[in-house]
Amino acid sequence: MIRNEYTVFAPSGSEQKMIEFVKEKLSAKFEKIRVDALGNLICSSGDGGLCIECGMDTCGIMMVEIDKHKSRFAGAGGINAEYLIDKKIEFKDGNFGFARYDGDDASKSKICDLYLEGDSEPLKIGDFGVVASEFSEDSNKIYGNSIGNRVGLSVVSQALEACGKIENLTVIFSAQKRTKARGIQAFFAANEFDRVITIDGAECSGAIKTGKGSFLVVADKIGTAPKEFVDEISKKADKNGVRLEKAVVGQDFCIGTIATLGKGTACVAIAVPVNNKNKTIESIEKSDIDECVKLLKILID
Amino acid sequence: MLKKLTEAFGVSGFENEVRDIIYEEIKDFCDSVKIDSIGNLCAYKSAKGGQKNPKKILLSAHMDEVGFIVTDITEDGYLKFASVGGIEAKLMLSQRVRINDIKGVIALKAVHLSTAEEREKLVKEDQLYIDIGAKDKKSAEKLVRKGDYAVFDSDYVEFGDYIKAKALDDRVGCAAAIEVLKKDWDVDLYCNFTAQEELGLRGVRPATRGINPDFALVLEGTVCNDLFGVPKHLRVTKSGDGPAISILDSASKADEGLVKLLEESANKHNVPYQYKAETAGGNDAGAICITDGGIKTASVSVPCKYIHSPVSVMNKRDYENYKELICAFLEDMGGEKND
Repeated sequence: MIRNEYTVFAPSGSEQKMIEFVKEKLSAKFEKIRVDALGNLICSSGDGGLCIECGMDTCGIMMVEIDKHKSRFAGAGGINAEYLIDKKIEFKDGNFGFARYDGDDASKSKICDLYLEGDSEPLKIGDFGVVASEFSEDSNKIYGNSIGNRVGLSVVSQALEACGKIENLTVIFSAQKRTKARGIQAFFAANEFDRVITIDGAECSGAIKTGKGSFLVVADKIGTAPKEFVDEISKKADKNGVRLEKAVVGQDFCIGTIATLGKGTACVAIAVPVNNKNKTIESIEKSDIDECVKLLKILID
Repeated sequence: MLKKLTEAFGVSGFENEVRDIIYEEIKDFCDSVKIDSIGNLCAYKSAKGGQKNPKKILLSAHMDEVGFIVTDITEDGYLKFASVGGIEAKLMLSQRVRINDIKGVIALKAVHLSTAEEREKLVKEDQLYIDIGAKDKKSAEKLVRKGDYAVFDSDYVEFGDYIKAKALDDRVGCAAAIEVLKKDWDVDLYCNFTAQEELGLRGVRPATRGINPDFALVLEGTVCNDLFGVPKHLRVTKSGDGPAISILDSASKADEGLVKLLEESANKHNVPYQYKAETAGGNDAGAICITDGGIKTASVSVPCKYIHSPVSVMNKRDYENYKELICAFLEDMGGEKND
């Protein structure tokens, strides 16, 4: 089941399959579930001031030229050409092709140099595709492509499943997070909360290392979390024996974006360390995911 | 109308002349027309079919164009400038410009005087200046002040199936919206003519807030790279293949349901269309789609070659089909809203 959280087809802006998947899994837990105009899935119970956010989408490609021999595509979200070369690309209805490059130096390739090898008949301009999911697990780790983009959703979903009936909480599974966090921008500009927790995968570098549980992001590229909120979460983690370290990171976890939208809110990010992020196969320690799920359950309860 | 609009002065932040033209054209056809503090012109026209609960549609077209702002006047009467919006320096060379009613040229020394090395290098904006024929600083200051805006001085010309003009991006959208407002529709129609799109979608934000439409349709003139030597897959749009429906660009992802409705209208009314096949670039849809909790938004554009230059070129049939598609869509949106 966890595999699905990482492999459901959901390129940025076309998250319908993930919406159906999450709805089916969690609808019984909430009083209200709706999808807004941007495609965010919003689950809420009561009128509590806490909101939890995680992204649903992954980066992908968009077809721009359909040709019997060499169909062409452009990038959708932060995806680079070299990563795509020789990967299997999957489309919504099960169609697929392989990204190919005929040049000599892949390190200098651009997405517009690549083409899709495969049956072009069912495809049309504007169709979205993603690199075919690969997912494996052993007793310690999960492995797969783009799992860092989905680990937030997996953690939130597991924590909610572990909780009883949800009271006084809003959860937004945001759309288009990998394309300028548009779902977040739309939602938080129009909805006010006292506090927001955003969950995402974090590239292992500097202070962020695997095997240490999850990380409370005190400051990211453009935002700083309020100290009172950070302290409150840290105390709860300590009290319940959950491993949680603080980190200042150079990545953007949307703390600044969320905090300054609408009338402003207190926002922190919780990060799950991801090894080899943005490489062909990423990996995440199961124990880190488990610690993050435990922490989130405590915060929700 | 398109001639009048494209020849008008409307650099981002100083859209007055364009706004005045639009206001005069639409004021007698709308229930209300307001100008807000940033310079947007916001029109509203109620449904005329007696619907109790008509759909609410927002059309949005930007009035502004790329241009220049005078940053300094030299001792010998030349104007130093900065570009307003995205213009490549190489396109500025030897162009006629207009600063209000003052004519000028963007100049560089004659080829006879340049070195071989200089001829090999691409010119940079800070090497250029505007010559308005002033003999010195004092004379120039009588005509122009620092902070004045300039635009390309370029005529509207029809040639064969094509039209050449400056600012087709986005006076085509404005012209189409004016024609739309002169007709009656069975939808509540909001139409924003926005300011400062070229400076980062500034006008559209305040113009859109509070309308809460069922759908928003951005009317644009967009990139057409249908040029000699460009591979098919890099042409973005093709001149003569009809209006372009955007799917994804750097600013927004079009609402899939709205794109489908546009396709259905085009097919039903036999209007040719194409998709904008590139993810680069962006327009007011980027701001509209995230306003007020999210608005279902799409863009329809006329493919325009050489945009952000004095000689943008579009196909006349594309423009006619563009207007037909917008009208077909609005016609099909009539009737009661199903909440």
